[in-house]
Amino acid sequence: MRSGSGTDPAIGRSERDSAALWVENLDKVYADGTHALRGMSLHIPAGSFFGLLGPNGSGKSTLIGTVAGLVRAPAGHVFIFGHDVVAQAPQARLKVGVAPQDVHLDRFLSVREVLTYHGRYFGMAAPDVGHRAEELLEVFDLTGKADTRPNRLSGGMRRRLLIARALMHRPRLLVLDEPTAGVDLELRRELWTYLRRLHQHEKTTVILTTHYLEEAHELCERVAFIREGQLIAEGSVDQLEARYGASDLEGAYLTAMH
Amino acid sequence: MATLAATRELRLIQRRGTRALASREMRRVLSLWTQTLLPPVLTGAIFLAVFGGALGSQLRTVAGVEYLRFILPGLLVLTVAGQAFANNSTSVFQAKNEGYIEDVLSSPMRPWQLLIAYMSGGLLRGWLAALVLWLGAWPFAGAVQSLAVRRCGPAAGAGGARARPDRPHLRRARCHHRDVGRQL
Repeated sequence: MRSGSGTDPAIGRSERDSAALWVENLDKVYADGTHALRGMSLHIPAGSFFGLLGPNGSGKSTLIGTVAGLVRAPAGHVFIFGHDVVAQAPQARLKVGVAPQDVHLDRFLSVREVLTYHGRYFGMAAPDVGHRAEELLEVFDLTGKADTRPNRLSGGMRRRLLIARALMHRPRLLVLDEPTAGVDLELRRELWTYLRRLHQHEKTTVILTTHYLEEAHELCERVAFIREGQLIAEGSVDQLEARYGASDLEGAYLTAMH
Repeated sequence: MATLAATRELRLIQRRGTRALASREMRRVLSLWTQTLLPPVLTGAIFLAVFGGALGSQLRTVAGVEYLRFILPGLLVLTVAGQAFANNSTSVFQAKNEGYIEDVLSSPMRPWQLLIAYMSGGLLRGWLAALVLWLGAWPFAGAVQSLAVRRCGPAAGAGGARARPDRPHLRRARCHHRDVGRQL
């Protein structure tokens, strides 16, 4: 991926710097020939709750990997609050918290340590790390399991821990890759409540990928449809329904994908 | 001025991250001591018993040095190098295979800082295993001198001889190493 120094002058720099995520002409081909992203461009304003919808293999996780600095794209630009994810990687990474689709937790650490070590990897000072970890354990109802190893937690608890870990260093941009996959209805609704509160009170920008369209409808202010590595539509739920002549988001999604 | 302060703040953040990852790696070595420290110590002890005991009883001395004392430095270096490599490769492989390396890779640490942090676990494991082995062998081999590290040559030899006039066998062993090296 090119660095941000040589960007197109037509790009409004102030607009780019104020956006939570600015993706421009992103392209990614994996070694096996899979063309995951094809000139993807996406602008997500700060403070928004944004949904990314698309079928499996549409490029959502690759896009998230690029934002997290885990996937390097050969062409295009990604800016997080004005920081280029390649040229200014440390600054950009400090502003992002990612809860990946697959639950990967360090099995040598306890639940509390998963949070404290993450905080320390992101440079939090020692007293702050302890307070923040206890706060998140409380919020995600994990206090009783604080000294347990993650591999002994239930699937729902692990999912909660993953989201708590992503929030540990107080990121301004939270990226949730299918956070409620395999989670029961009760917990899903609890997570929705917490995410809404986080978004409204702490002004955290949230990017959510999900296959549950009612979840996107419930939470997201704006939604983008992605297919075969390209953005095919973007707007509010009402705008997308009107554009595809559908009565609900599901109808709009199905029309857009076929 | 603001840029300078931001740079300093970022460096502090990265140093904290590096220290955290290094402490995680070292904790892993100590908490899994039955897997990380015990096997190399036992392996080294078996080597010493087989070579030092069985073979050493036949050879007795090499270039004037008791066989057990002759092989111990090499065995210690082999333990440090082998265990450091094994620890780092296992730790990174486990983290990658189980996916939790993403937490580290998405952090603001620089690649060289990740390298140093991962190396710290290997260094601790290598040195600790070698230290335990050395202490275990002490009653049989005595304090081991640095046979392999000292240079063999007129100046080094003369210096070594002056420094340790009571141990001429060390100089003979060094020169033996040099001669073997030349033949090879």
